[in-house]
Amino acid sequence: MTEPRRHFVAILRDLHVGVGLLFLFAPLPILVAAARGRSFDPTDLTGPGSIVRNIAALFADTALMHGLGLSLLVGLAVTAVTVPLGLAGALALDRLSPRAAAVLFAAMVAPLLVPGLVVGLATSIVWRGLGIESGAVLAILAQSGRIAACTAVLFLMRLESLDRTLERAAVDLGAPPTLVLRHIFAPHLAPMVPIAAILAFVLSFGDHDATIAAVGTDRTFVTELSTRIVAGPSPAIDAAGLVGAVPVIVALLVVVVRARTTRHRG
Amino acid sequence: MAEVFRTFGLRLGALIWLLVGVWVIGLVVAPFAGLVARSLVTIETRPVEAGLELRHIADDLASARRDWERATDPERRAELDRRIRLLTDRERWTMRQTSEPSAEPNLANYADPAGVRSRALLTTLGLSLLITAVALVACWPLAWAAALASRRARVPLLLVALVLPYGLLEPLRLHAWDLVLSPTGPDGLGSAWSMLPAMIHSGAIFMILPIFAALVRFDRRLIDTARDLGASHSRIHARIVLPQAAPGLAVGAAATFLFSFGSLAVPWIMTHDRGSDDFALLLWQRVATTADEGIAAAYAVSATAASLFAAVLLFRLFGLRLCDVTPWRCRP
Repeated sequence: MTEPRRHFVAILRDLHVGVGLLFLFAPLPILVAAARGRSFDPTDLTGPGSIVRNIAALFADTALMHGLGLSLLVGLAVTAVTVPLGLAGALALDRLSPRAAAVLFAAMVAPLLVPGLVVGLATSIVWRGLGIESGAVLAILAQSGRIAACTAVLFLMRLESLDRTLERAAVDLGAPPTLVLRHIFAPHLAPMVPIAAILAFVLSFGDHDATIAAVGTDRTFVTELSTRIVAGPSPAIDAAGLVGAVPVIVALLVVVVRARTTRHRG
Repeated sequence: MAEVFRTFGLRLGALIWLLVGVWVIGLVVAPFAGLVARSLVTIETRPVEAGLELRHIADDLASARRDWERATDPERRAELDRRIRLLTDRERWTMRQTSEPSAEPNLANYADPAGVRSRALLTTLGLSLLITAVALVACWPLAWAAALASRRARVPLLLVALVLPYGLLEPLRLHAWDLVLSPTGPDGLGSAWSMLPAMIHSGAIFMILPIFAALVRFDRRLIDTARDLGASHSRIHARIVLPQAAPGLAVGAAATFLFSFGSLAVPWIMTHDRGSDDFALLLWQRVATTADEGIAAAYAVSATAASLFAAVLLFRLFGLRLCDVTPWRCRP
């Protein structure tokens, strides 16, 4: 009796997954279709433009290009700040009593539980009050608290799989702290450093809410994009949609093709 | 505290505590303490002329912003940007010269005589709960299927497929939804309802990943055993799978709720800054249109309190405490 029913449930689930994936990937074809511009706007009489023209407009757009440079700068700075912070935070948490660790952990993840806009505003109010007016510096400060919490969680997860008997054995055999760190903690945590760095950069580059409240008029790429989208359609935005969508489409194709080849082999 | 020094030595221990101190004090405690303090200070403008001057600047700023919205030429925009920055600086300078903060901390910034704030707060809370419920139902099968598939495949293809759409920058994702959902195209008014699909799309990842993480180590043999013993599909789900997934569901629900409650990008882009019922958007409009940060700070403090309170309630709903999902489990 249970066999056909289970089958039915499995089909239903696969259908749900299919529809879910279609929904999640829907923005990609929309952006590609809109790359020539204005085709979704019935009041526009100029008709769709050309993709080449739009892409030229994107690269000629000084505000967006300035934002791109600023985003890369902020992203690198945030990476350089949050990887050491996350590492230090994870190591400190690892050594504290559970009660003290819970308090410190709560303080560290607090910025993640608060709306990004609030973090950005709080950062901007406090540091502008202390005389820091630079949008880039304020963006770095606003993003770092949230992103350091993410890198710290990555390092904490990695520390969970550390074999504690190794450390105890080393200490029992008289190894000084530097040796324990160099030979036991460092090799175990090292593979996580590039992953944390990539995560930090990606989160920084894509951050919108915290950044926009902190940067003022000196906007990063993402905040300049959103400001322009709010203001209305333009060729540069149509091209940006295409330029943003193509790498994701390529990545999707690569993943699907690789999965198929491994399945054939296996 | 001493344990850190014992394990890592004096110099490295000191470095670790220095970094942690800079982080917690500089990036967490100071900004939030400053925010609360600022929300309790009102600005009083002394001479009448200063009030007029500020009014003129505000008018100029508003018209510059309108021009900026209409301008399409990047150079004209850059020029207007410079003008806006100059006017903002002048506004701030005039404020500093002619007005002084209230001597006593007070709650005037929290006053809400027209009920605008409380209405937006309630609307946003309700909408966020609705979005969380829809996302919970919609994402559960996806996360469950991804967790099952990840046990079989070396490359968790389905998980990659679920995360990949977020490789697109958030404003562009929202722009795509805006193109198809806004009733009169991107030039027209975005409707508040067009926010729903966009919010669920952006928030789904916050639901999928925690549920996936809770289920990925799930022992499938439990299901096989239960089935062999004659349990029905729904019974297996209710008695074995759901309890296992509960922490993931609670974290996912809280994260999705916090995202949709606090997100500025979604209501801002989907309504083209014309919405007035979303709390984050209302806060942003405050920040963007006045140099007096006191009211904006008060908005921010209420938003923080409301979202944290609701997140704790959500956890209670799942029968969990916050410590259940930290690396240190609650004491029995």
